[in-house]
Amino acid sequence: MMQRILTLTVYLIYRSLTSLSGLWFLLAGAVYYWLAFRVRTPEAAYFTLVIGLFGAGLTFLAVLSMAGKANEAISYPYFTRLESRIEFLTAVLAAGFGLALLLQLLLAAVVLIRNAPEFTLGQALEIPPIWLSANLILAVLAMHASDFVANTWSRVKLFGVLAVLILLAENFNDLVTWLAERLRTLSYTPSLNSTQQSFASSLRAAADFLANSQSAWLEETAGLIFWPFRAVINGVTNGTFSRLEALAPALLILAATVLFLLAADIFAGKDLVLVEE
Amino acid sequence: MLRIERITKRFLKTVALQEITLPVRQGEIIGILGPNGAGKTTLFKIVTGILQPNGGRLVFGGNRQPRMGFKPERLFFPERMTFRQYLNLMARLGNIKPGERKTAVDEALLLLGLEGSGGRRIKEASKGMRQRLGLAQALLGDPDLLVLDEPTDGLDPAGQAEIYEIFRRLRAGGKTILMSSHRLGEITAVCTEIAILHRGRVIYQNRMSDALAERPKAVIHVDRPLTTLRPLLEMLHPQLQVGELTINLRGESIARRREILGIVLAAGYDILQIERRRATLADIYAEVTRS
Repeated sequence: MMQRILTLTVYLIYRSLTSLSGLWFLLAGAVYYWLAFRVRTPEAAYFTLVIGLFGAGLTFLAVLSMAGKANEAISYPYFTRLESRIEFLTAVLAAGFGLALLLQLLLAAVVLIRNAPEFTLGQALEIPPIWLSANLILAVLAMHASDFVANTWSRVKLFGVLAVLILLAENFNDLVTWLAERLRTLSYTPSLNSTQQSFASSLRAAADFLANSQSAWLEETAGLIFWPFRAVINGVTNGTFSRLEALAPALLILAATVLFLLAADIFAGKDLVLVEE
Repeated sequence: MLRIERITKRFLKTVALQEITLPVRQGEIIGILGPNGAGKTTLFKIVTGILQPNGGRLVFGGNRQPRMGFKPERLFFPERMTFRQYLNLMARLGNIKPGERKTAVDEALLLLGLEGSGGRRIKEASKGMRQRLGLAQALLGDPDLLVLDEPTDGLDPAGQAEIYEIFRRLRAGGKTILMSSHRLGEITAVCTEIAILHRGRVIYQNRMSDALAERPKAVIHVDRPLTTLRPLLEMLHPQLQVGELTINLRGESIARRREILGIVLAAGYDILQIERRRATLADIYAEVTRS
């Protein structure tokens, strides 16, 4: 199994490097360097975060690109040779992740050679788990976004849930405050106060409840999903990680594992209608 | 080896296959016939695990999925690779041991007449060579079951004959082949069993030898046009067809050949020849798809 996954991984990287997409990735790296590192010598936190962001973004694009190549009709005979479809899925993940990591390390090496920031040993040791975990979760999200893995409404459901969670995490209190104000205004309308006093007082009670509670628990619960990202950024910018924040990369890897299992489940049961062009 | 059991496949509201049941016995070459859109390619993609059926199942002999080689109808390759690089890739995916890979690739190239083309880039290959390469990758690694969608499409007659010979040798070696073709002559020449698909259903299946034997034909050739006798003869049996200078008898009408000969001779015709023929696959195909 490992040999087949490795063969497909190398094959996908070969196809990427012998096509225009490989050139685009190199170009993206050069442009990113020019924008982010050309002028100044970065601080350690800047180096970690900005190259981490580059790696994660590039991993997303690289996995999408690999999934696009795997989704071509060339792949039909490959599938009949594999013991499980998941071998191909793993190869797509490995190829995209590996290629992006290579370019990320290349960018880091160029920065370190030309204008290296000063690192403590602790800061240097923080980098691998931060970069790898962020790359991995973006890689798995890219798989869900690709035609290769997505089946019917699967990607709409997944990214829809994520969008709702972002909305709740960022704006839920504003929404609740707005709703409380509307209810309070409604409860003081003269016509309602004169005819339906009990209903008006119920509205006021609801408005008070919303205004006082602010439903922080819901915002916090929704925000929990994104906590590992915030924790990593906080830890890097503060120059030190709390014990809880130090768990963030591991949580990201755990989330990536769960999302990969979900992708595998979707992929195992879908019709492979590959692109014939 | 494999039993296709009540397989149904729908694409949205379109039913592509409807309760298909077909035994695939080891050592047989099964030809799947049918007009475009009958469901042949869909059936092959279900057998190879590329599509998932909505109903029914595939039952594998010994509860073990056979090793398969698949040649799709439309061939696509990584164009920048050479023939040898591509076959090496397939050999790796087919779990051929590192020490045996070169031999396996060489044998596949030799078998398909591509021994001088190992270093050729796929993008430089002709249609016929691509077809051979498609077959070579399917044969690589000695799979138990070959699923071949239009295996000789794009080959010249000599190339087709070579491929038929390869199929016969593979069968003699115990391999099983499931193939489709629009060439009825090809199916007759190589297949030991046939199944005819029409609108997603199997409307006919039989051993090839039985299929050809069960619909004999007799043809009576006469010396003059049968214009005046035609109405009388055609009334004798619905399976009797009168041509300009021939009387074609099929099925049960053959039993009435003495009576027919009596009428023809009495009318002053001379009998030039009486032929007894086996039915062709074209006859069977036309008959079952019409009915």
